[in-house]
Amino acid sequence: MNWFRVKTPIRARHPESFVEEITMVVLLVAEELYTALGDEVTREHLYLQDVLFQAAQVCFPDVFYPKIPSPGGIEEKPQRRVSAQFAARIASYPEYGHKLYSIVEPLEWGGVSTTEVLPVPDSTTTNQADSRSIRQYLFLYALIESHVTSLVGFQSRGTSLSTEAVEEVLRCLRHSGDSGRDSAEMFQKSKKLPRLYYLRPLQISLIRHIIAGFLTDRVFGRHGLDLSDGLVGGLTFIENSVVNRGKFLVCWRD
Amino acid sequence: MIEQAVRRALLRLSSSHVLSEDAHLELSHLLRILLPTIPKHLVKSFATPILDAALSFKMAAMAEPAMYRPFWIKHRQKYDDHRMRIPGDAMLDGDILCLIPGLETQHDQITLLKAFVMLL
Repeated sequence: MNWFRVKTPIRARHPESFVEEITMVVLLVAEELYTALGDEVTREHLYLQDVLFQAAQVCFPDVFYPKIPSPGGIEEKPQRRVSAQFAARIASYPEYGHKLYSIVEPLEWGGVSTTEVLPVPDSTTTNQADSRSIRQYLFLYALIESHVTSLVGFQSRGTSLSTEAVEEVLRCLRHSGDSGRDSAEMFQKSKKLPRLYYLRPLQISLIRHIIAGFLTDRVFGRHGLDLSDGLVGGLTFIENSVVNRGKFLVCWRD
Repeated sequence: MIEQAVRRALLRLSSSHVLSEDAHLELSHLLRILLPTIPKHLVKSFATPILDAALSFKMAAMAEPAMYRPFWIKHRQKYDDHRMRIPGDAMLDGDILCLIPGLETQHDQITLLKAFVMLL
């Protein structure tokens, strides 16, 4: 792994990007550990998620450590103390800790408010963003429909699927993911695949269905995009830990 | 915010070195079986913009404050007017063929777009 490739962009970015970068590092380390240790990775994962959580504490100090007004009216600023804890903690981790330390050590810690770098969007911008995502989603499926209709138009009517082709489609679907397996089960039991394919309007619907399932499994799935099992396991563990503990602390603050 | 940062990191990690030849090849392979008489270059010119558009949506959806995700309708599910819509006045009985997955918010599962399905 090229640690310097990760280190360089961190310095120039704001804390949100830092969390992303440190997460990437942790994920890469998690994958390496999975490869090296197999099932014995649980204890190491505890270290990994702890590193990430500590990083989040440093990047979002006003969420995790709200400023407490002192009797004299001057607010305490605990960020520097947190950063020292964080630096000491990650430096104590064997194997990869010193590498993480070398990455985060040059940063200027503390003093950055979450709301300064991550302004909460007002209702107007939220609605605009919402409609933009939904438009993109609708555009995607309109694109699929128009392309499939166009491609099917190139085929002569009455084209049928061979037995081998039916088997290959079912095999691909089973391999794709949950949605694909569900479709394969339906086509296998009902024997409807050849008949659906034979009639042109239904053929278009069938192909749209198969592409939609492919995207659901391979792109939109929880951790789609062909990630390895180790990386998915590592991410799930880290994400759940960060989210659960983060929520707990935010609730505690309120 | 932290959860989104984790997800964006994952997405960047994914798109930087995976999205991938595998996804393009598998989709192209599937389409070549389904459309055997279509020239290869047409199939390829279909797969690329579809995957690009899908990735664009995914990145945008993950950046939303509420985070969106598509939901799939399985073939045995009962018809549910709140989460599905069908063309015309179809009989509400039979296997479901999901043509467009629905869209919902990640955590509270509020339906933003109903899934578009047909009944077989």
